[in-house]
Amino acid sequence: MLNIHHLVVKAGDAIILKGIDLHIKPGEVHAIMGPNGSGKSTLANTLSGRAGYEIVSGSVSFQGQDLLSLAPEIRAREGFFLGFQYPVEIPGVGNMYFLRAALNAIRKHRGEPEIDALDFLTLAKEKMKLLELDETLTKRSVNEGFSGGEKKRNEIFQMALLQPKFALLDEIDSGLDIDALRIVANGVNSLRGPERSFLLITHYQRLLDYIVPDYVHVLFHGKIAKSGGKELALELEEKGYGWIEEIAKKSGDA
Amino acid sequence: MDSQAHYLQQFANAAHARSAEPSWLRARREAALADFQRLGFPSQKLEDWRYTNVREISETPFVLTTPKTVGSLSSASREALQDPSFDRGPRIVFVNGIFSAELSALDSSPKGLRVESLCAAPQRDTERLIEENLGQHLADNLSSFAALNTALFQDGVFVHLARGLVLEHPIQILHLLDTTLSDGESACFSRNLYLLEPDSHATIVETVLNFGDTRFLCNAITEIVVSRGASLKHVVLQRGNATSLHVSATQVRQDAASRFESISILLGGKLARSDLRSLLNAERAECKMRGLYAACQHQLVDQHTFVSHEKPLCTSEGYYKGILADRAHGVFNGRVIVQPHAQKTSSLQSNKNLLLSDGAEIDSKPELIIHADDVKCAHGSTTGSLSEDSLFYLRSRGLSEDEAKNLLTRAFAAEITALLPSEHLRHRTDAWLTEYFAEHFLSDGNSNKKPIGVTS
Ligand SMILES: Nc1ncnc2c1ncn2[C@@H]1O[C@H](COP(=O)(O)OP(=O)(O)OP(=O)(O)O)[C@@H](O)[C@H]1O
Ligand SMILES: [Mg+2]
Repeated sequence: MLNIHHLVVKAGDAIILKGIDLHIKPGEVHAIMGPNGSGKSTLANTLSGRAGYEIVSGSVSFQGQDLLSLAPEIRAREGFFLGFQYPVEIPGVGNMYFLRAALNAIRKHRGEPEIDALDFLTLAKEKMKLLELDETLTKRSVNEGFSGGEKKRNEIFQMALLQPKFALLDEIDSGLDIDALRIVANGVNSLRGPERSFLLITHYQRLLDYIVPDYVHVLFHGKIAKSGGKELALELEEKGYGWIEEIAKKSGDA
Repeated sequence: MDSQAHYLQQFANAAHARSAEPSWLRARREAALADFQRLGFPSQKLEDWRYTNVREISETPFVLTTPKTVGSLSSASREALQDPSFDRGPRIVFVNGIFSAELSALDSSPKGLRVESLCAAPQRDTERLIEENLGQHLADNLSSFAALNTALFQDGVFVHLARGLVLEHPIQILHLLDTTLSDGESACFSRNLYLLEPDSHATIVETVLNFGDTRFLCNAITEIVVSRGASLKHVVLQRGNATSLHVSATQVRQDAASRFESISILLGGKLARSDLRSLLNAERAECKMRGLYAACQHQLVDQHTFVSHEKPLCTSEGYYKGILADRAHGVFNGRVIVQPHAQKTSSLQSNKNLLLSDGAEIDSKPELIIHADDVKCAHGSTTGSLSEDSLFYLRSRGLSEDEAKNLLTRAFAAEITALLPSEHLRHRTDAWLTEYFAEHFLSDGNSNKKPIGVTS
């Protein structure tokens, strides 16, 4: 599904990602943890095609295509989804109008017919229920005046509508109360399937109680310092990142 | 022939048409022509015309338009008439500045309402009203275009609302400026007079559409009196094109506790200059002026507003948004004067501009001149470009760069278009904007490109 090879990325004047290797197969859920500033969002931004990141070396293939050569919208239409750490507010752009335009762009790309306003509304209502989103919220402008938790739920609502093949969710759990966390996790779990993969970026093991990952990776100073199963998250929760630093130093020496 | 001599000739040529006019009007026209001769076209040395060069107008020997048969209207003009918002309430239509009885629908006007061709009116019972008001509200410094207009105007709209009349439906005024009908480069001069007697309420929607690709000048002067306790919502939707030149000015006089609200959408035009002025002539008058102007390619849009607080306790609000693409030039000048006795004035003015390319330009100048001490006034101006974060967010969901830009640009405009008083008008305006900016944004070679001025 997604294969990252020795990816080195520069932002501003600094090398932020210093050689990332990651292989995600269809149906797998991976989690990336790591201290603030270690490069998690930089990886997410690079993969989704945001401007301002320079690929120094390495490559990323997504379903056999060279992901990094595609425009952001083509990545989306090919089934790549980014759930933003900080979703932007876009006053004046209606949430539903925007999502129907997005869904139709994706459908057109796949050679499918456009969905009309009525069918879209039915579909949207179903997904709103799944995310326990208030209908009035989706009638407003994109994220405008949404609370932090509402913005995150709106990201998952969008994902549920657009049905991507791969979703990268950047701190989808931050700012969520306990109920919202459960709702968001349910939303994600309902989309899990043998053809769809996820990469979750998170600081907290708690999310991984709800969405149980197949693999956990620790990003440290722009490198994956350690990978393991879901128990690695528990270990991090318990010990913090000190011991990872030791590992990173050793591998740096080698 | 120099430009002034050219217009003197035009004036002489139209003598026959004037022969039936009352003597007071002929006298006013002659006096105005003399004013125009003295003033000439405005030069850029005048502060009010600093950024707007009218050479293309002064140096083109435009010929006054003549009546056309409806049968010769272009299909685009015909299509414009099909807009559902024209179905209700009185509708008055002008083709190249000349009244078309055939296209108008004035029979349904309620009692107490007069909507008619200004030039037809002097022979009737309204002559005294027209004589008392026509040209009497124009500020002295309204530029020589007003003088030229008084000398040459061919026709226009006369609206009169009797005391206490409250209109249910808007009065629709449609100007079709269609050069596929005209014989070469032509000009029309229209003159409008709207009189609202005390406690009457109306909405007037003016739609001005350009079609065809021959240079065309439209000069319009409108005088409005909103009497004590009366209220007028004035909507102007103007869509120019690559060869249209517009110079229009509206002067409002507001009496005590009157309300005037202007909502304008100025879309393109080779040159589009609009002046909107209100004189708050008595206590507790309220004036709201809000609008959107947009231009692309090498177009120039110039929006001037002026509010004069003459008496205490009046409020005014000005809010204009501008969208400039390609190498377009926008000018905004919003001036508020608070006269010495106008205590307890409240005035708020804001101008926001969106520049869509490095080549686009805006000269924005909100001005506040205060001669009273107990007032609450504020003004501000901002200029920016589309947010990269928002663009990326939309693209990350599958929208193309063009679609994302178009959507965000329309969102910027939405704050103003949302003020339009009907669903039809909002829809129509949004469609214009979509088309207008699609024209600009779609990259070269894109096949579904449509020329401006062709309705979909
Ligand atoms: N455009 C940029 N220019 C310069 N530095 C940048 C840029 N983008 C990111 N960085 C830096 O790269 C480092 C990694 O940032 P990133 O946002 O990827 O961290 P993160 O792991 O997501 O952190 P957090 O857990 O706080 O979200 C930080 O030091 C950040 O300041
Ligand atoms: Mg981050």
